[in-house]
This record gives sequence, C-alpha cells and structure tokens, in this order.
Amino acid sequence: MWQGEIKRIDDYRYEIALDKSKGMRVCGRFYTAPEGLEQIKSEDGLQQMANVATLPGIQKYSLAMPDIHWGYGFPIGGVAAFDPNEGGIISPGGVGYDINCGVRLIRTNMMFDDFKDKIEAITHQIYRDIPTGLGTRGIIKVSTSELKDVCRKGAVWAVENDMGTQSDLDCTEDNGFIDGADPSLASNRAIERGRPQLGSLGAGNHFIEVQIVDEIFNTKAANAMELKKGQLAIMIHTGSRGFGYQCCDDSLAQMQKAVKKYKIDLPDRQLACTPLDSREADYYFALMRSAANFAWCNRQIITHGIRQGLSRLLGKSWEELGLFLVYDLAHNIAKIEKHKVDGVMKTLCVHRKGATRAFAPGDKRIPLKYRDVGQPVIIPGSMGTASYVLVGTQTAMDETFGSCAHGAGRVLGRREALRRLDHVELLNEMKRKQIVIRAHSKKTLREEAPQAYKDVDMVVEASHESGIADKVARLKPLGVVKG
Amino acid sequence: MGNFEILDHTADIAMRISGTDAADFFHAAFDGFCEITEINSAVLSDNEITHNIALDGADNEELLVRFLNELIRMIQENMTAPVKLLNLEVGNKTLKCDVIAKTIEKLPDGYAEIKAATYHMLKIEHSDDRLIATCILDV
Repeated sequence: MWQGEIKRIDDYRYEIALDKSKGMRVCGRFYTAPEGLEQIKSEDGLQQMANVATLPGIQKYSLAMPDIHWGYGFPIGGVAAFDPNEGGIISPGGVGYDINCGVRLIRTNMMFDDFKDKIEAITHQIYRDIPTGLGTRGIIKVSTSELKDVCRKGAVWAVENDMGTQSDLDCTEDNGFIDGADPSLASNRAIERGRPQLGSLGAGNHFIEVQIVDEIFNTKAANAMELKKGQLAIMIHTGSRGFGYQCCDDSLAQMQKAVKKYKIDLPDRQLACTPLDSREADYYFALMRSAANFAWCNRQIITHGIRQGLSRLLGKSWEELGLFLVYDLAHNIAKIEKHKVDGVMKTLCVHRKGATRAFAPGDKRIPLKYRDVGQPVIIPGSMGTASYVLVGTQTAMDETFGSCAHGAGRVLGRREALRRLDHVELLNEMKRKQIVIRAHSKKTLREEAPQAYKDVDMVVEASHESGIADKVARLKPLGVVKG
Repeated sequence: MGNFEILDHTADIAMRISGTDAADFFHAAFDGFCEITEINSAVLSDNEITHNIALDGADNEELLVRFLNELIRMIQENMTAPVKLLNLEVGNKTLKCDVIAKTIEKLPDGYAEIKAATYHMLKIEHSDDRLIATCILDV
C-alpha cells in the first residue's frame, strides 16, 4: 500500500514527489482515471515506480501507464528511459520474463451478419490448429540452427519460409525483427526450451480472440487500418515462450554480478541492471533481441496457422477472407530510441514493461500507411470484455517517451479470483454474452475472469482523455481461445 | 520444521517460506512450489528419474531463486514432476540435492504455469531462530 503523498496534476495525471532520502533521482508520474486511484494506492505498484526512480541515468520521470499494477521489479505498466551519457542502465527486470510479449490484430473481410452462425466453428478451428497450454509443441518443428536463424531474423524468417507476406512485416513494429540479436550467446537451456515451442500460444493470460468491430471513434484512423463496424477481426496475445523466460533468467544471473561490479545501489534485487556501455549490457541486448525476434516469429507463425485453418474451414483463400495484419506490437521490451528531454534530442534506452509504444503521426518509425494517423496501439481487455485500437499522439512523445497502456491490468490476485469466482457461473456469463470459449484449463478461466481485471473502458478513457493515445475503435469478443 | 504459506499477489503468486535452518528452509520451498503448481495432482508414470542438482550463488537468496527455477524447468523442459527432495546439502554459497521426479502423463487442470522465480524484494531474514523469506513467482 502506498502511504506517501500523491500530487494531482489534473484528472488523469498524478505524481509522487522526489524523495532523495530514498534515493529517488526523479519524480514518479502515473496516469489513471480518478476512479482508479484508490485501487492503485492500495497495492505496491507505486512503491515499485518509486524504486525505478532510483536507477542511474533515469530521465524525466519514472512513469506508469493507466493499467499500472503490482508486478515484480518494475510495476506492470511501467515505462522508464535511461541516458547512457548519464550512467544510464538496462535492466532485465524492466522488460520481464516474457520478452516481447505482445499483441497483433488481424482484420477480415467477413462481416458478422454473414458469419454469425460460424463463430463457434471458427473459434473451434483456431483452438484445434493452434497449440495452447503448457508443454505443448508448436505448429512447426525447427532444428537448433533454424531456431538461431529465427532469433536473428524474427518474423522475416517466417515470411522467408512462406508463412507470411511483406505486408505482414510492414505492419509489425520494427518490421518484425530487431537488429543486434546474437543467439550464439543463448544457453543450451534457452534453445532447448524454445525449440519445440515455436508457433504455440502458451497459457496464463495469453489468448486468441475472434472479435467484432463494435464501434468506430476515429474514422480517418479506422479507414487507414481498414476497420469498419460489424467486421470480424482476430487478436493474438502471446510472447517468446520458454526461450524468453530462460534468456531473462540467464541475464539476471549476470546482472546480479554486474550490480556488485559497478557498485549500483538497488532497493530491489529484481531491478538488477548494468550500465548501458558495459559488456554485460551487450550480452543482455543480444539475448533480449533474440527473444524479441522469437516472439515476432511466433506470432507470425500462429497467424499463418489461423489463415490456413480458416481457409480450409470456409473454403476460400486467406486473401479472399481478407485476413490481413493491422498491426503487431511489443509490450515487454527495452529499445534504443531518440526522444526529446528538456528540448534536447537524446538517444535513450526506453524500457516498457506492460506498456505499449505509441508514436505520434509523422514519425518515420511508423508504417507508411499509418504515418498520417499515428502508430496503432492495441489494448486488449480481459476475457469477455472489449478490446480497443488507439493511435499514438504527440502528447505521448512529449510526456511518456511515446508510450501508452497495454491492457486492462489486474485488480484481483489469482488466488483471490479462484476463491471468489465459480467456473460454471463464469461459463454461464460468457454464454449469456454469446461468447464461445475454448480453453484447456478451468482454473485459467477463473483466474482470467473479467472480474479479476480493471475496467478496460476506464484504462482506455484515461489513455484517451490524458491525450497519450487517441481512441480509434472498440472490438468485442465473440470467441475466446485460451491455454 | 519448515513451512510455507501461499500469499496473494495481484499479477503473480507469492509464497512465504520458513525453516529452522537452511536445509529445512529449502525443503519448505520445495513443498511450497509443489503446492502452488498443484503438480502433485498430475497423472504420473511409475518410473522415477533422479535429477542431480548442484548450484552455486552469491548468497542463499540466489540459491533459492536458482533452486526454484530448476524445479520449473524440470516440469516445463522435461515434463517431469518433482515428487521428492533427497540428500539436500546447503553449504556456503552452494546447494546440492537429488530431486526424484516422475514423467507427467497429464497435467492437472489446476496446474499453474510459472515462468520463473523472481528476486523481487527477496531477503532471507533471521527471526526467532528461523529463516524466513517471501518469494514471488512470475505467472
């Protein structure tokens, strides 16, 4: 529970003061709707934000997006940028174990009215074709050498192997691969954990949803994304699977030593870090980028699996069904980016842990087709609730290093959710909402129930009203596939 | 006698571990891990596999994280369920033990997929002649 002072800047911006006695180097700033404030204060997310503010070389603020909640190391929803010229660091705890966990949205040419009788079959087809849950093998088998190629090339590897198109790469953050990966540094354990899992969803909060575009808020941006009311879409949420977890684990072991070597004083060992210009930083970047590329390739292969399956089910090519990628983005990653700080352009290492990049219109890092409207930002809701598409804004560039929320954010612990929620009632609720569910585990369903999450509408309103993103469209779930 | 308590955490899961000495403490961590994952309810084959574990770390906190991560990998990488902890020796910055495991034929519905044990605010403290720590596991 946060017991320090909170300063209200406006209805959606709040700050915790700089406390030098606790080692803070900058203030903490977080974004929330007023009705979310008490919940945020009641747990440890703000303390974690204050801890991040102690890290060397941090710029402007330790930030948290409207879906802030208690995590480990950084809060979930945490954003922090570090300047290598001011002793700035990189921390695996600022990225998390599921490196490049992310979301992609695929639009279709299918209108709900024409396909409403096929939602169950479509959901079932996806559940059958895409491996879910723990210990599952991915859609494809790769050798160690192929896996290393995946780690170097990301989604490009999938496209080279006929599992995607140039258009998919154009609509993926960083074009589906990040330079500087070096899988030769990955441990045998990381390789062995990752190799069987390429093209698999995993468990926990990962999902695939069949959705309907329910409302359009920004016609110009929606047109650029070819989204229209009543259209079906598919959303995928997954990451780098066991490969990423192991890369993070291996790096943390190195970072524990680096903290001592570089005499970095930390309030929490999970924030273990190393100076950006150190050999240990090069090692972590090489592994993190390998895992990020694995994740982009994973989501691309899953996309291919969905396209093939729906093509078989519906008797049309995936192109005829219009299964084109709207956008794919990472929400657990650290990147070298240029941002203005106090009017000076700086090259910074921006950590986003449970936060989405949200670049403004005109930015050259956005695909050409979206450059006039801003980078698409995808905020999935909890199971059974709406998801949103937004676009990045200049306010985000000015205030949050071009970042926004990444999801609804939990309010109930998993055990609390299990205590309070009943599996049968939950399924009945989904049935009442006419949502088809396919899941491996009843327990996961209870843990991931909508009641366990913040109201995604509130998170999106806070993002929109604060100006760090601009609402484009709302999508509602029709079919949910979970591990 | 070591014991553990599973605690609420918003995004992940936590356990408070307590033991009279280091060996007792690590036995309690083992039991807590099995309880959290519900791996004891898995359908297992009869054949037993022994995993010999030898770890080093800067301190007992690092040994705890590495020990729990070994158990996670046993399940996720090898699809074997840890069932018994034997021959545990915790020395100065080292840990050795044998973990008896059985091949998993079917995971329980309640199985919690743990990504890793974390260092978040992890500190093994001495209190009333006991070692006590709270460890958060990333779900």
